[in-house]
Amino acid sequence: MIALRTVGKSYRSLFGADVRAVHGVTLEVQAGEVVGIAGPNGAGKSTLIAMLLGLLAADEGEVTIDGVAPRAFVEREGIAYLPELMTFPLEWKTEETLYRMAALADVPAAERTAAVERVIEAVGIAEHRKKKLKALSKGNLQRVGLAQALLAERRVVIFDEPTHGLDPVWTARFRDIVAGLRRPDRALIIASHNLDELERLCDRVAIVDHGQLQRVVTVRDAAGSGAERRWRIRAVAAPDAVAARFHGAVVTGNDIECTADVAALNRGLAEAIAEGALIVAVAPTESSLEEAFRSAVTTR
Amino acid sequence: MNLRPLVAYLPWQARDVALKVFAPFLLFFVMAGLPLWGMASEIDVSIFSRDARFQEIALRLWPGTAELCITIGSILLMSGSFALDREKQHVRILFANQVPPAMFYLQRFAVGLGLFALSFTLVPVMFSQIVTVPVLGTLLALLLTAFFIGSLALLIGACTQRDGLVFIAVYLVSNILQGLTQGGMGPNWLRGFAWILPPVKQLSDFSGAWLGGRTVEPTDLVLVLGYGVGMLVSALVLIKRAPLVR
Repeated sequence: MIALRTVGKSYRSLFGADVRAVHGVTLEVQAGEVVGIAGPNGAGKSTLIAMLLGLLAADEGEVTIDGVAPRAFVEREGIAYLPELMTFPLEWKTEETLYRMAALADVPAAERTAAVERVIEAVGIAEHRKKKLKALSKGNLQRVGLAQALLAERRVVIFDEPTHGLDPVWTARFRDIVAGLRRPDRALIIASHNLDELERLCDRVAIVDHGQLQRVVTVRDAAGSGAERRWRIRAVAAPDAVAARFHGAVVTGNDIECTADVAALNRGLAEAIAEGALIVAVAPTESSLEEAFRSAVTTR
Repeated sequence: MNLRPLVAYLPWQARDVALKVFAPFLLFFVMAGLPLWGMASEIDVSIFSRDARFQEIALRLWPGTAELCITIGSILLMSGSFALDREKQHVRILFANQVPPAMFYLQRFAVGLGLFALSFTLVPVMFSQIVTVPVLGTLLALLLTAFFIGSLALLIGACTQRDGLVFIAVYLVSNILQGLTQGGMGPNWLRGFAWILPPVKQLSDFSGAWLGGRTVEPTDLVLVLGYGVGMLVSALVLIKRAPLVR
């Protein structure tokens, strides 16, 4: 549905030197998928999103959505888009903003009030509906941004740092909203610094750095892969018996840190339990995506 | 092209402009109304008395003040829309919807021009209670000035990020050079340079003539109108083709 083929974009600096923001990015996002874009600051995420929205044209390669240029796609059916920072005029009121956006989103006049009420309810901003945007907190502004993105049924959804400024309750609520947005004919792209969030929400995560696509991690595969990773095990009885099963394990009180693949971990734990170890917790020290991210941005 | 979203958004565009149409009124009141009130008190007549001395003062004050208010009003109402939306990144959310950006700004341009004309025409109607001034001439001066300045501002906004400064520079340089070279004065290169700049001086001449109830030469009018249309079309093409974010 969304295709980027060897896409490149450079900016010309004040003194005429070209700065490559994006270079040689090839990525496809199918309908029904949720794909994350992760990368450090200045990695090229915003440029990629601007190209997907048709706000910037690629210098090299090609970007298409449903087989047409992004601008043509946007002008035909629109994209549900939540920007990293709310970019509405701050003198607008919450409800007014949503009515304006509903008009631009081609929500029929007869359905506009119902659509606005639905999204106000969905993101819990009823008490702020008459307030000016400048009177809202960062988290509430972000909820208004999310609300406007949900006004119309779109086949392409792009969220840029969607949980920026949200409290933990609304971060969790946001995950439910994204889960509800999954649809076989819809492609979702989420750009975020929050790897844990991407790991929970996405099917695949594209890791970009210095304008290049470093790796695409299929999140489910990464979680269950046979690669060795670092684990933290808590044993309330016989922690030494656990540590003895793993080469180089470090014991701190009841906690053991060791490196093993999933099969070796299970074998070692089974043996330790047979020797009297009482295991209460086992967890990777960092997420699989975090490992992939770290290795992608440091092995350039 | 789906124009339904633009039609649905029309009342909001009108509302955004309507909040600014009072500025030229207020300016006119401060620049013409208050001094006239003061003078009427000084010579001890009512401003509605049709006193000959007072009428002469009012008539002398009218064209210059009206032209200045129309020019400043045109700058306030017609400039900065695209450049500001791009600078503040409003374009990101606005144009994630199925709205062609060039059509959006053309609509805003037309709404600005229409509302400014509708509202400011009340000024000569009200002023006619003191002294007879040309209502139609004022409307023509306003339409031409707002159209020309709006087109120039939109084109500059589409080309550069420092649209305010560039607009002032282009407007002032054009006005000064065209004034200096008027009537074939000055060296050829300077006359040539002044000729390619936006015909701000001719615009001012037309405006002044219409506001003073005089007739104008149609040849130069075609130049001013043609230049305005050219700038507007170029601006819309740039908005359609050029990057919306930088």
